[in-house]
Amino acid sequence: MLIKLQGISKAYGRLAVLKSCDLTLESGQLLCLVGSNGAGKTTLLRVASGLLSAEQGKLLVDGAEWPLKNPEWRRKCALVAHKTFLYQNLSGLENLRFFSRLYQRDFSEKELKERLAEAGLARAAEKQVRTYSRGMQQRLTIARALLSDPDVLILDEPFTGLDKDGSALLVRMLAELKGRGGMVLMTSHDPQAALAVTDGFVRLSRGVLGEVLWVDGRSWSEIEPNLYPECIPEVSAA
Amino acid sequence: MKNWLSTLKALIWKDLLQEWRSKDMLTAMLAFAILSIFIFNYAMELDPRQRAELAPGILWVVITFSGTLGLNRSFVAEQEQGSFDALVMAVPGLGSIWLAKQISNFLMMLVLIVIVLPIYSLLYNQNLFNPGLILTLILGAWSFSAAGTLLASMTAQTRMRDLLLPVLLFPILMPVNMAVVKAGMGVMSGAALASYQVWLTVLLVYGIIMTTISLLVFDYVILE
Repeated sequence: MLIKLQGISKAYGRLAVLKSCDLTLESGQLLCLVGSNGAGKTTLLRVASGLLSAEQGKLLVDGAEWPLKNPEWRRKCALVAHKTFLYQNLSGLENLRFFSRLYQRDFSEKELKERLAEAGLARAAEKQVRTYSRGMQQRLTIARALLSDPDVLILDEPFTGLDKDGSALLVRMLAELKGRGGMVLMTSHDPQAALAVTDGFVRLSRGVLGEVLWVDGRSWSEIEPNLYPECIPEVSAA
Repeated sequence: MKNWLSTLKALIWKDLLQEWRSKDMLTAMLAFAILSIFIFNYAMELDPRQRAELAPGILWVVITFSGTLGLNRSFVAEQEQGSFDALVMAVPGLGSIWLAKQISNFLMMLVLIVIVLPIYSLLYNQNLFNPGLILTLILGAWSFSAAGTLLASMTAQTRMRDLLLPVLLFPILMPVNMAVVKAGMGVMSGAALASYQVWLTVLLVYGIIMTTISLLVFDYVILE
C-alpha cells in the first residue's frame, strides 16, 4: 500500500497553517514529523486521519484519489492524539470492548484482556480509567488505537507521559506494526526517542514540509545537524 | 444493517453505563425539576379547576428546562477526553452517533417524567396518571430530545454552550411546546380526542421531521 498526501493546504481564517504539503508513506514505513510548537504538525495529522478538511490537496491511496474526509479512509486509520479519547467512567476493559464493537471486531473477553496485558495493564483491567495515571492512560490509548488493526497509525506525541518501560513497549508495538506492513506517521518533540523505530524524519516549519531525512542506520549525532541546520554553531574562519 | 444496529447498541450501552456511574445528567435534571415543582406549588395557589388546566403547562416547563440542563451535559464525556474524534473515526455512518445519543437523552427524559409525575401529583393533589397525558409527554420528549441532541452537539464545542443551547433550542421548540400544552389541556379537561388530535399529530410529525433532518445533517455538523 502506498499513500500520498499531495499539495495539502489548510488555513484557520487568515492564518495559513499548512502550505502545499506533500507526504508519501509506504507499507511498513514509519515517518516522524518534527517541528516547533505551532508548526502545524497536529493539523497535518488531523487532515491525514480524515478528521479535518483541507482547502487544497488530495489523498492518493495506491494511485487512486480518495476524498480527504472519507469515512472508509478514517476507519483504515487510528489516531493517538494529545487527548486520550477514553471514557473515564468506564474501565480499561470496557473501553476496549466498546471500541472493538464499534470496529465490528469480534474479540473475546480473553483476547481483550490479553491486549491489556500486552500494554502492561492486566491488573488495572477492571478499574475505571479515571483512576489511571497519565502513563497508564497513554498505554490504554495505544492499545485502543491498535485494536482495529489499522493500515495507518497516526500518533501525536505518543511518548508523552510514558515511563521508560512504556516507551520501550511503544517502540516494540510500533516495530511489530511495521513488520506486519502497517504505516505509521507520528510527531515527536523528542526525535531521539523515536530514532529507535523511525525510518525517516520530516520537518514541518511554518506550514512548509521539508524533504524526508532517511535514517539509514545513522546515529542521532549524524542526523541532528541535517534536521536542524539552523542550530549548527557557526565556525569562524581562522 | 446488522453492523449498524450493533454499533448503535454499543453507543447506547456506553452512554447509559457512563450516566449510571457518573449521574451527571440525572442529578442536574432531577434537582432542578423537583425544586421547580416545589416553587410553582408555593408560588401559585390554584383551585382544582385551574390546576387541571395549568398542569400540562407547568409540567412541560419543568420538563423542558430540566431537560435542557441534561442536554448540556450529554456530551461531557465526549468533550472530556476528545473521544468524539475516536467515535468519528470508528463509526462508518455518523448518524448512528447522533441516534444513540438521541435515544439515551430520550431515555433520560423518560426517567425524568417517571419521577416528576408522582411528585407533581402528590404536591398538587391531582392524578396525572392519564394515558393520554403520558402519551403526549412521551411524544413531546422525543421531539425535544431530537432537536436538543442536534443542537447540543453543535454547542458542545463552544465556550458559551450553557447559554447558547437554550437560546437556540427554545425558538425551535415552539411548535412542540404549544402542541404538548394544548394536547395536555385537552386530555386533562376530558375533551373528546378529536378536539386535540391535531396537536398529537403535530408532535408526531415534528418528531419524525426533526429525527430525519438530524440524521441527514449530523455528518456536516460534526465534520465542518
